[in-house]
Amino acid sequence: MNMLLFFITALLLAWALVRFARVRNGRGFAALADPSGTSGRPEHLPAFDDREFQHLGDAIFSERDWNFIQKESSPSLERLFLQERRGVARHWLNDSVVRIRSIRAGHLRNSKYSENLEVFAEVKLLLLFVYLIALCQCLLLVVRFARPDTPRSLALHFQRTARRLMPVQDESLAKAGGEGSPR
Amino acid sequence: MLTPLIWFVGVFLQFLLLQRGIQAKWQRRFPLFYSYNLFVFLEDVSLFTLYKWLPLRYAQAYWICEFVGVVLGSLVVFEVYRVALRPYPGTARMARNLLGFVFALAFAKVLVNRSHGALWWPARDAAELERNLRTVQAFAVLALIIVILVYAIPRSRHLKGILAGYGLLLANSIVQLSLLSHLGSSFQSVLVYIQPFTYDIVLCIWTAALWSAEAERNALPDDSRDACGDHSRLVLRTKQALQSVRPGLPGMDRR
Repeated sequence: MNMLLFFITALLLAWALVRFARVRNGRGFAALADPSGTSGRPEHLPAFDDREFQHLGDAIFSERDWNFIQKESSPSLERLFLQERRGVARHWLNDSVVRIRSIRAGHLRNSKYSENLEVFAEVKLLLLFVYLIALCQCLLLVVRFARPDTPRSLALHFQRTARRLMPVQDESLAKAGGEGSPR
Repeated sequence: MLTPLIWFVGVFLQFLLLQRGIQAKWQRRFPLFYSYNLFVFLEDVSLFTLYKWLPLRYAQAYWICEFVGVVLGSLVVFEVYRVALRPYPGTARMARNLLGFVFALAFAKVLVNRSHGALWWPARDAAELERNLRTVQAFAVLALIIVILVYAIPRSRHLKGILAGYGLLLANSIVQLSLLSHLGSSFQSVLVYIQPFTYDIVLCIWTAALWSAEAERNALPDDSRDACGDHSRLVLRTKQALQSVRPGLPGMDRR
């Protein structure tokens, strides 16, 4: 057992070295996960603009459209709807991952120069990035095998996580603003 | 016949590496790395001589040299950290904390063993002790690689070569010393070939990486440097940007 742990350590180091050698200079883990920088988004599909993105986010996981289609009692229409909705959901989720990765890249690019980096805040933020990307990947998986409105609770969770950031942000911004204002 | 050949290749490569480093004055940039190599070079020559003339003293001298090598090797890791992250104070701070965490864990393990009445380090012999020390080093290298990759730190071919070679040396050492502890003397006869051979491979990596000159990289003057003043503001800005990425759901009011 003990020996196995040492072997695992050696393997882990070897794996990290291979990754270290493969990544092009000045690029990080993200480049390995997604060499094209599109995060799996098909090249023929363009990225959403911000308004489209928000609007589609509202609509994709909603039950309204599905309820409406079900009222029509047409199996072929239902099939067509599911096929189309899955495609849109996948595209939208891939776009979310691209956006999160892009925000992460921007943050890391800035924070590596930061003189007063707060390690705890940084680690928390990095874990949040990992969590959000993993959540999007889970949603992608669910969308692939179930109805697009099925991952509603997961999406709600995603929403709440993003929302939880807000009070902290408001508080800190107010504080930062207060410090800077003349008394 | 094979052992002296492997040994000769190793000494030759080491000589080449040192000679090239001194010629190009790279020992000023990587003093600890070249000190480590000079030590290993002298160790190899003196141990071979000792093996020829005083074979009974060889084993003792070998393990003493190995431990000095482990200590100097830790300094090589420190040097990579120092050179690679000098222009990036934020990443350097992160790496310091991560390395501190690795060493604190190792220290905690020592304390726990001691409180249980075990040896200060749970090693039955010198090979096990070296393996344990190499494992701590491996975690330190792993932490360094993760930080360098996550922050996409630019690295010169020299740095890449030094870290890759040393990492390979560590991974090999851990596997070989674990097998030695487990299999005992039956593995010893294989180890006398494998160990110097793998070290020759490491020397090939170092010699190839450090053969030609490469301009020293400084921090890239990119447009991100305007935001590097205050980290807490940067975190807030990132969180704000993350707010825009969320699946909007009916019944959920937006702020």
